[in-house]
Amino acid sequence: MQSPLDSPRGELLDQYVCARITDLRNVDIGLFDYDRNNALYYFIMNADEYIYMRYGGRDADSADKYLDHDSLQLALEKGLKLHDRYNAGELPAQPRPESFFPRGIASLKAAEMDRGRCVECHLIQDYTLRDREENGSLNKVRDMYRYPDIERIGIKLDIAKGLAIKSVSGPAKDAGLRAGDVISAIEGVPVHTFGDLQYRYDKVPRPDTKSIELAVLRGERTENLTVALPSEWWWTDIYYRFLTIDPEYYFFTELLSDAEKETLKLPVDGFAARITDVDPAAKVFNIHTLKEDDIIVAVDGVESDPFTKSVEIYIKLNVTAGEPVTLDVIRDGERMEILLKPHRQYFRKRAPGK
Amino acid sequence: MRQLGLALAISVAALIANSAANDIDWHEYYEHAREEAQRTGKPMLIAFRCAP
Repeated sequence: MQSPLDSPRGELLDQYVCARITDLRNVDIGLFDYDRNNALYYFIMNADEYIYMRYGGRDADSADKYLDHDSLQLALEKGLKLHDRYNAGELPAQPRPESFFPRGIASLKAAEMDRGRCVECHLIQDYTLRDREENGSLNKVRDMYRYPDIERIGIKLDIAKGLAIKSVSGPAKDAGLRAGDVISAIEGVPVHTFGDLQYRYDKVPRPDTKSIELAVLRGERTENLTVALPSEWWWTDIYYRFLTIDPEYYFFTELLSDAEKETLKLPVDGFAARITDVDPAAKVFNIHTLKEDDIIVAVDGVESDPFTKSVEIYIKLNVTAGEPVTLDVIRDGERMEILLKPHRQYFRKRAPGK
Repeated sequence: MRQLGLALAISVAALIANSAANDIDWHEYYEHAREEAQRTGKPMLIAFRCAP
């Protein structure tokens, strides 16, 4: 981000001590906790390691969706004000996060650090999950589907204006949020940037939380609003994260309508779905023999799940890459079983021997 | 010709010097930034730039 000193942003930056870090080898990642799949992410903080705010954030569509010169300038201005308030003793205490360094991630240390390789941000997430998968502690809903998308609950931001809302729909609209509102807190925690909001939203317990509290500035007033969370509010398209433990199955589906399920005598709350497209890679890699218009009825005998109505999400959450499952399928009116042997996702830097 | 070359070299050096003076100084290590922040009382902007 180019910011000459004689530009407004440059004048702001000149009031900061700036650091640009590209290798996390010796960085305290316990302190610097953020979505590791961001190409660029900022912390505004002080020498006491009090974090004023995070700046950055992305979604599945774009790596730089929430990076913007104007909103960065807003954040820098707010950071200076918060710094003054900190020095005046006006900010609440903030416990320092426990230190943790990349060498504490066993597979990362073995595969990258001991070979003298750069510890890129995304590797922190990749290898943390690999270790959890191997020691049996991986919770996919909690560990893989990180940093939920606020657009899934109907909030679109006017990105250049920080947390100003551009438009609302769905749950956000139902809760009473309006275009022009400025989000100021989530679950009672003040937020100054989209980075703050996304970081705190990710901390909301899942999958059982049914609503969240948002505070918004509306003119001179603060409104506290309760947003009902839809099912699977935490789900995001994680393909861009290249997580090797996300199974790749090479087909696409659409959920059957209730009427179609009744006609086929299938449970209405089930995830029966029609195949809409099959990736040729399925044949190349011997993943399955599904065809377009096949109807998947069950996965290893399971026809429904309280978490999801999507058979694809069910597979992502419950099937382990590399381990086969049996699909109950209706093809041309005939019921049959088809074996699914999902692949591991592509992983850019494999651990030795993997 | 030699004078023209010298003038050109001086101009380029001036441009580089001006450019350097006009840029933000970015530390490469967090601890160095923190030391400067402790010394100056300034807040810090820490950027993490990685392949996504």
